[in-house]
Amino acid sequence: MYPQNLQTSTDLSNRENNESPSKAFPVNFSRITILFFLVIAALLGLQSCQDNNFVGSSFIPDSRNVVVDTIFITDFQPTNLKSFTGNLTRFTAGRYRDELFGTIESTAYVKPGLISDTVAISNAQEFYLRLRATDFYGDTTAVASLELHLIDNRWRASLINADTTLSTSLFQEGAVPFSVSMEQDSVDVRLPQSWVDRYIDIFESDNRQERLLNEEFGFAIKPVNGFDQLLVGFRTGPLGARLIVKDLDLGGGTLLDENGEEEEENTDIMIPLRGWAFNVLQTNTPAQLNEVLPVYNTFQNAVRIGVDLKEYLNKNVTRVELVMYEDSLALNSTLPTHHKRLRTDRLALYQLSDFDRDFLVIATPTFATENRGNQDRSFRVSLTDTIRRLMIGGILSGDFYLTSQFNNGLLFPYALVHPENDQQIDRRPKLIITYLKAEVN
Amino acid sequence: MKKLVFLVIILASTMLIPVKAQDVLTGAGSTYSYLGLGTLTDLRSPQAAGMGLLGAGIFNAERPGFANPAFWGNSVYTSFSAGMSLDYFNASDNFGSSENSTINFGHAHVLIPIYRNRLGVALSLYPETQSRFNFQGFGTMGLPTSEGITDVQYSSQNIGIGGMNRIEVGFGLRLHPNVFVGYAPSLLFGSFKTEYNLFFNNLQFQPTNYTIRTRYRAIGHRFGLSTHTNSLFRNRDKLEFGAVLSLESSLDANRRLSSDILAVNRIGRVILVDESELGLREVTFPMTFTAGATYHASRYFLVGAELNFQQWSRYNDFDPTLDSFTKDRLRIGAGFEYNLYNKGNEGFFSSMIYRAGFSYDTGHLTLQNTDISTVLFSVGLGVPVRTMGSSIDLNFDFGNRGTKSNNLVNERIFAFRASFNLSELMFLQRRLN
Repeated sequence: MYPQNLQTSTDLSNRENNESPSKAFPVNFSRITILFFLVIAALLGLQSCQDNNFVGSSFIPDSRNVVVDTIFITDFQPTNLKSFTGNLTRFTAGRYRDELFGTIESTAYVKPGLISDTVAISNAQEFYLRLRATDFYGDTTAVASLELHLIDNRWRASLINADTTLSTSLFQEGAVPFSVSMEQDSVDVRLPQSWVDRYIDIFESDNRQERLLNEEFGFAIKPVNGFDQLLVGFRTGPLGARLIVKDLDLGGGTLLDENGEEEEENTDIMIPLRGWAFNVLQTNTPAQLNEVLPVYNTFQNAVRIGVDLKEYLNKNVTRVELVMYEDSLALNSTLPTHHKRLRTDRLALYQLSDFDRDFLVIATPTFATENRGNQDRSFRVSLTDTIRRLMIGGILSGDFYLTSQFNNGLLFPYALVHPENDQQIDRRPKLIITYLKAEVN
Repeated sequence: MKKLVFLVIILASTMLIPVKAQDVLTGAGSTYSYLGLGTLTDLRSPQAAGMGLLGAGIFNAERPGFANPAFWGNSVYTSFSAGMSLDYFNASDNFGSSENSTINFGHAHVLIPIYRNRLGVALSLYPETQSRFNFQGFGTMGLPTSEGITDVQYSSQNIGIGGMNRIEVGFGLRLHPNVFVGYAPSLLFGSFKTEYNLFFNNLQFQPTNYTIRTRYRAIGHRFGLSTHTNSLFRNRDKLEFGAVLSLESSLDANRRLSSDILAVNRIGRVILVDESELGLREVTFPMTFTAGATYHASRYFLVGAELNFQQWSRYNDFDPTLDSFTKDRLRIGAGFEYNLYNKGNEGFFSSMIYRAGFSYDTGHLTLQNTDISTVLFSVGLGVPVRTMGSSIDLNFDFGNRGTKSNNLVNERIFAFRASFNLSELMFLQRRLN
C-alpha cells in the first residue's frame, strides 16, 4: 500500500499503465552497468584535462615577494684560542716590524732525533743544522739575522702553541749566528763542538734513546736582537730541516728533489728532527691596527663573530651569505717597496663550542672561503643551511671563529674592513639575507 | 547485442583516456576560487540541478531532498542521497589559457519521516563554497649572489585547496495540508590551504615555500517554507511555491602561516606566524534567500523558475587590508522536466526523465569594476531504478563565467553531476492485498 498523496514525477501511481513495481520498472542490471561505465568514462575523460595554469595574473598577487635584507655585523671579539704550532708543515723564525700589524717576532724550536746505530758518527765530523727556507714575510731584500740557542728543558711539540716561550741558554761557545735570505734555498748552520761531543756521547751510550729524551732538548732559532726586517718560514719533513753530518768517507744517502727524484749523489749523514715548533710574539701594534679587522692564522687572535640570526628563524629564508671584504687599502698602503706579506686568499670559519675551546683547536673549519677570483676581494660564506637547520629545531654547535689561511706554521696576518670603517661602508662585514615574504593578515 | 557493443565502446574509450593519478589529487577548479571563500557551490537538489535550479520550490515526495527544509515535513520515505561532480574549466585571459578539472564531493543527505506527511528530520552534509586552484608563473629577478646582483630565473607555484561546508540537522513540519515549514541549524565550517612555492634556477638559492591555512566555523540557521495548490488551471495540475532563508553567520576565523623547510636531508615544519599572533577574527558569511515556483502541468511535465539572492556585500575578508571584491549576488533560473517514465513507456530511452534549464548569475565577485557573472545551461537525465522511489540523476552543466576584458579570466565551464538516491518505506508495516 502506497501513500495516496504522492504527487511526484517518478511515482508509480502516476504511471499511465499502472503496472506493479516488479514488473513495470524498466531498469535492469545491464542499464545500470552501462550508466555506471558512462559515468566513469565521463569522469576520467574530463579529469584527464589538466595542464599548467598561467592565467589569472591580473588579480592573483605575486607570490614572488622576495626581500633582501643586509645586516652589518658589528660584534667581533679577538679571542685567544688554544692551538698548537708544533710539528706543522712549516715553522717560522725571525722578526718583522709590520707597519700595520706591529712587530711580529717568532722563535722556532727544533730537536734532533737519532739515526740507526749501524751508522758510525764521531766528534771528528762536522755537524750542521740544515734549514730550507721557503717563505719570506717582510723586506725581501733583507737578510734575516738569526742565531741558534740551546733549549734548557724537555718539551713536546704537540703542546707548544703560539704563546709558548721555552727557556734557552747559550752554547759553551756562545750563540751561533747565521743568516738567511731569499737568495738561499737552504742554509747549513755549523753546530758547536760542545754540543757535538754531548750528542756523540748520547749516541754511543747503551740507553741513547732515553738519554736523548732526557738530556737533548734541541735548539731555539731566535732573531738577533735589533733585527726586525724578515720572518722566514722553513720547510719540515724529509726535504726540510734536519741535521747533517758531513764526512765523505762515511758515505751517506741521496737527497730527493721537489719532484721526488734523486739529486746528485750525497754522502752526508742525515739525522731527522724529532720535533719542531715556534712561537709568535706581537708587540708595538700601531694605532692603525684598530681601524682594520685583523685576522691571523695561529688561533692566537682568532676573531669571534657574533651572528644573530634569531630574527630570521621564522622567515622563509632562501639564502644567507656572510660577506667580508679585504681591507686592500690598509694592507697595500702599509707595505713599503720590496716588502711583502704571505698571500692570503682564504678565510676559515670554525664553529666551536665552549667544550671545544677548552682544548687545543684541532677541528677542521666548518666553512672555508676564498676570495681568489673575486674582483672585489670579498670572502663569502653561505650560512643558508645553518639557518635552515636552526629553523627546524637544530642548534648551533658553537660560536663562529675566524682565522686566516691555514694553520700550517707560516704567519698570515691579514686585514678585513672594520665594521666601523666610514670610508668603506659598503665593504663592512655583513649578512645578506634573502627570503620570501609571506603576506598574511 | 547493441547494448553489449555500446558497453564495449565505452570500456575501450576509458582505456584510451590518459589518466594521471596525480591530477586527481592536484586538479584545480575555477581560477576565481582563489578569492575569498572560493567559488559558490550552490545547493542544488538532484532533480532541480538538471533544470538549472536549486530546487527550493520543487517538491518530490519520494526524494524530498535538501534544498528546502520545509519539504521534510511532507516526507513518506526514508531516503538517502549522495552525489558527486566533476567540473572542467577551460580558462583563458589575454595572456594564455589553461584547462583544469576536479572531482568533488556533492552532498550526503538522510531523511527520516517521523510522522508520515507531517514531521520529518534530516541530516545533511554539503559544501557551500569551494577553492581549488593551481597557478604557476616564471620569470627573472635580480638577486644578490656571490657574483653580485644577478638575474636569477625562478618559477612560482600557488596551490590552494579548501572550502566551506555545512553539516546540518533539521526538521520539517506540516502546518496545514498545503503549508510546510522547516528549520535546520547547522555547523558551518571550512579550512583553506594556500601553498606558495618558489624555485630558483640557481643553486645558491634554496627552494622556499609557505602555506597559509585558514579555518572557519560558525553556527548557521536555515528556514524553509513550502506551499502548493492543486487543480489551479486544469485537473491534476499543481502550483507550488517554496522559499528558503539562510541567516547571515559570523565565522570565527583563525589563520596560521607555516613553511616546510628542507635542511641537510631533514624536513621540518616551521610555524612562521602562529594562530595566536593573528588572533581570532570574525568573517561574515552572508545571508541567502531563495524563492522558487513550480507549475506541474501534468504528470509528465513541470516547469519552474527560481530566484536566489546572497548578500555578499556584507562579506569581509580575513585580511582587512584587502580591497573589497565581493558584492550582492542574484541568480535567476528557469527549467522544465519531461517525465517519459510516468507515461509508462518501455525501452531504454523512452522510460527516463529528461530535464533542461538555464540560469544567470550576477556573481558575488567584482574585480576591476567588472562583475564576474555566470551563464549556465543545464540538462539532466533521471533514471528510475527498481527500488521504490530510488533513482540515479545525471546532470550536465555547460556555460561561461567571467570575461577577458580588463585582463580578467573567462572560463568555459563543463560540469558533470551524478546523484544516487535511495528511498524505502522503512519503519512502515507493509500489507499485501
